[in-house]
Amino acid sequence: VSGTDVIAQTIQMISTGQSLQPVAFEAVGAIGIVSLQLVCGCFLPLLFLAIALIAGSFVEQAHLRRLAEAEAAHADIIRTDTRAIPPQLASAEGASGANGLQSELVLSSVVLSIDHFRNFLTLLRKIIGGELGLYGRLAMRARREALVRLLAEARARGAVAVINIRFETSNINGVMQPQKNKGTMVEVLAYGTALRMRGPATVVHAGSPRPTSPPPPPPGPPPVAPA
Amino acid sequence: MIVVNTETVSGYEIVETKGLVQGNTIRAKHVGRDIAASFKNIVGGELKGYTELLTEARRQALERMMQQAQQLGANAVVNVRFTTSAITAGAAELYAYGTAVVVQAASHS
Repeated sequence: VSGTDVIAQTIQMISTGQSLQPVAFEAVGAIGIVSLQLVCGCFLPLLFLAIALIAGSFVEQAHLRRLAEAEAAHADIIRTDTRAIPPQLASAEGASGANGLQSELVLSSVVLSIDHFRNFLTLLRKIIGGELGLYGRLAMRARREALVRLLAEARARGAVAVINIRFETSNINGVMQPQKNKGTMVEVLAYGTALRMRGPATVVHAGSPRPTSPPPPPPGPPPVAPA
Repeated sequence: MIVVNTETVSGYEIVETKGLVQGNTIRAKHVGRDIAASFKNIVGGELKGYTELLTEARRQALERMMQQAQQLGANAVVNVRFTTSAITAGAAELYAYGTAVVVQAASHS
C-alpha cells in the first residue's frame, strides 16, 4: 500500500465520519513517506547540482589563478613546436664540448574533469547544437596545465628551451568509467625535447632531484627571454 | 640513451639508422583510484589518480621502446611519438614509437 493510497483512505474515512483514532498515526506516517519521496526525487538532485556548480566554479577559478602564476614563473623558458633550434641558442648549437646543447625528452600529462552541473548544461546544449564552450574551456585548461608541467619538468632538468612540443588529447571517459558515463574527463599529454647548455655545473643526472641552486648562466651570450 | 622527439640530436650526428622501435602497455582502471576519482568527478578538477596511472604507464611504454633500441645496438631514439587509444571498455593502450639510431658527437665544423 503506497503513501498516497493511505492518504486517500484517510480522507475517505474523514468524509464518511469514521473514527480517526486508529488511522491518524498511519496518515502522519504516509505524509512523511510522501514528503521523503519528494525530497529524494526533486530536492536532492537539485542540491547536488547546486553543490557541483559552486564547487566546480571554485575549482575552475582556483585552477586558472594557479595557471596564470605558473605561466608567469616559466615565461623565461623558450618554447616552440618547430624542430629548429631557436635562434637565441644557435651559437651553442653546433658547438661541442662545454658549449654544446644537450637534448632530452620531457613529457607531462594531466587528467581533468568537468563538474556535473556544467556537464548537465552541456547535455542540454547538445540538443540544439552549436559550440560547446564549457568543454572547450576544459580542454584548453588541461592543455595549459600540461604545458606548465612540461616547462616545470624542463626547468627541473636545467633546460633553457623546449622544442618540437606536441600535444595529444584523448577522451578517457568511456575508457575509465564505461558503465556510468557521467562526468567528462579529458587527458592531455604534452611532450617535447628539452635543451640544456652542456657544462659541468648544469648537468643534472636523470632521476636526481631538482638542483638546489639555479643553473648558472650559460657560457657565451645568454639566451634572450621572449617578450 | 638519448631520447628526443626531434629528427636530429643537437651536437650529434646520426651515423646509422637501426629501424623503428616501439613499446606499448595496456592498463585497466584501478578500483581504489576509481572510487576516489568518481567523487572528484562531481565537482570537476584534476583526477590525480588517473594522471599518475597514465604517467606511470607511459613511462613503461617508453622503457620498453628503449629496451628494443638497446637490443638493436642503438644509443639514441629520435622522432619519438605517443598515442593513446581505447582498446576495450575499461582499458587504455599507451603506445610510444620512434626511430632507433646510432649517434656520435659531431666533429667541429
